[in-house]
Amino acid sequence: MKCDQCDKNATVHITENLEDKEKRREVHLCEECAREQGVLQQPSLPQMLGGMLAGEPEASATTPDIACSKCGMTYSEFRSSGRLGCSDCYKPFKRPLIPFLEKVHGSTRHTGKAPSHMGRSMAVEQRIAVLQREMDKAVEDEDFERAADLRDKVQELKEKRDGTG
Amino acid sequence: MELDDLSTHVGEWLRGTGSESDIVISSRIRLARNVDGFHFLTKATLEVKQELENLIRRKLGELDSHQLSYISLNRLSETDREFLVERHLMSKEHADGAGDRGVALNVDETVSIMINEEDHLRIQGFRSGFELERTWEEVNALDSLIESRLPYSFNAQFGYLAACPTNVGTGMRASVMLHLPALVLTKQIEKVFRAVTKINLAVRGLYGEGTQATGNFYQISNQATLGKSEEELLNNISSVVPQIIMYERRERERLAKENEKRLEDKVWRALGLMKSARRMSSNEALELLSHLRLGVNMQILKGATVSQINELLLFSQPAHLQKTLRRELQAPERDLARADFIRNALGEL
Repeated sequence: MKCDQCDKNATVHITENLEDKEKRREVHLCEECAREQGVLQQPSLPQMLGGMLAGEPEASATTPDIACSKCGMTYSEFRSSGRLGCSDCYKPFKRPLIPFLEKVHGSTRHTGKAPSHMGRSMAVEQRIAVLQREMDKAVEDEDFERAADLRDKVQELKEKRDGTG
Repeated sequence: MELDDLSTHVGEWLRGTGSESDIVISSRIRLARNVDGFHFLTKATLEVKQELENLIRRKLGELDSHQLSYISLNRLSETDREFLVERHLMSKEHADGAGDRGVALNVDETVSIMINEEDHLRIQGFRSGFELERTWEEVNALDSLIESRLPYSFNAQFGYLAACPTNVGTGMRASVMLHLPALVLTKQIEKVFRAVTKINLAVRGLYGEGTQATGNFYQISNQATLGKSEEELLNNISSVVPQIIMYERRERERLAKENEKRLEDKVWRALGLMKSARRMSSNEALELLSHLRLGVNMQILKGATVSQINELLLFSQPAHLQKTLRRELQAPERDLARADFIRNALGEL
């Protein structure tokens, strides 16, 4: 099926329910026209990755493609599929990944559950991060009493961590 | 456990019990995990995939606390795979995938673990109703148990390493499925969704990513998986769901007060159609059952229960219909069989 706006193949099909319940309007568009008309707002993950990483020096055609030494995944392969090849990939691709993670998650550091073998240090670090965020929230909500309590707790944990307590 | 053991009843998520179950259908939490020392599946050879399946299957079999049955997808017919998707025990991608892969589940369907989907393990927990906290306790305990036997890929900065960087960190996607017919009828639903997406939550249809919101069923889930603890991510969802429930209730009350006849008409027409139709697609069935469900919740339709409607919702799906009738049917024949099935089931009403 051809796009309603141009001659390309239509990949976006929309059925609109009109006011009169019996009547429907069908619209067929190619991806480009759909995006132009604001129908397609959510780009796919590879598109998003590609778009966001395009400004990175690694992505330019002149620099050689970086690859993961463990699994052989190249950066351009990753950009087109949106999937990494192994846990080591997070190291060679770290630089372009950081702004991506920042955009998707609003953060670049894990503060959640950790394997028990990571030991207490990880747990304390995470606890501090969580309390700090709660403290910021309390300040925002102007709950200063709670913010002060949280500040003391954070201080206590930091002293424990650094052995200064 | 055989698949046929499941095909006589609804799974946990449609039980129609738990907190706020008139509006909240179910709570689900999944964790993406990869076994340390193996490539992700994008770079795994067929041999490695097989080795992973065998290893994970063996380790899961050792868990005395969770009696998990393992189903290897390679040996399953298309209808049987579809059947598991309809029960939300695995994703459509997993059903349509290739190579050595499987799903481990317990008999009451509160746990399902996909093996060799996008990540080595996708551990999922389900509960009927608004029960995120309880679901997290169960999934978290199971995850720790598996981890003690099968070390995961983990890194201090990025947390649990996933094949897709959108899942890295906690690897957790928590979702709550809501039935919001009144907000749809009064055209308030868009407003709710705009508010929800502002706080970085996603709205999806009945069968997850990329699916339409058929039958006024919507899933609200977290987008971000990195930078916040699991509890914080869950709190974010838990704080917004009660508000949506309140809006839905308010719109239901408003409809009952200001548009009583329109509402009643909607419900009775749905029942009339289902009791008379000779052909029915699964989408039409979902839409009509959605109105019946509203009718039962608002006590317009007496004599039917939410769990009866939930059962029909599931059993009118293509694979369930075929399993119940014990034969393979093409879509046009299915539409005839579905109409018969629903007519019989609603005969008493």
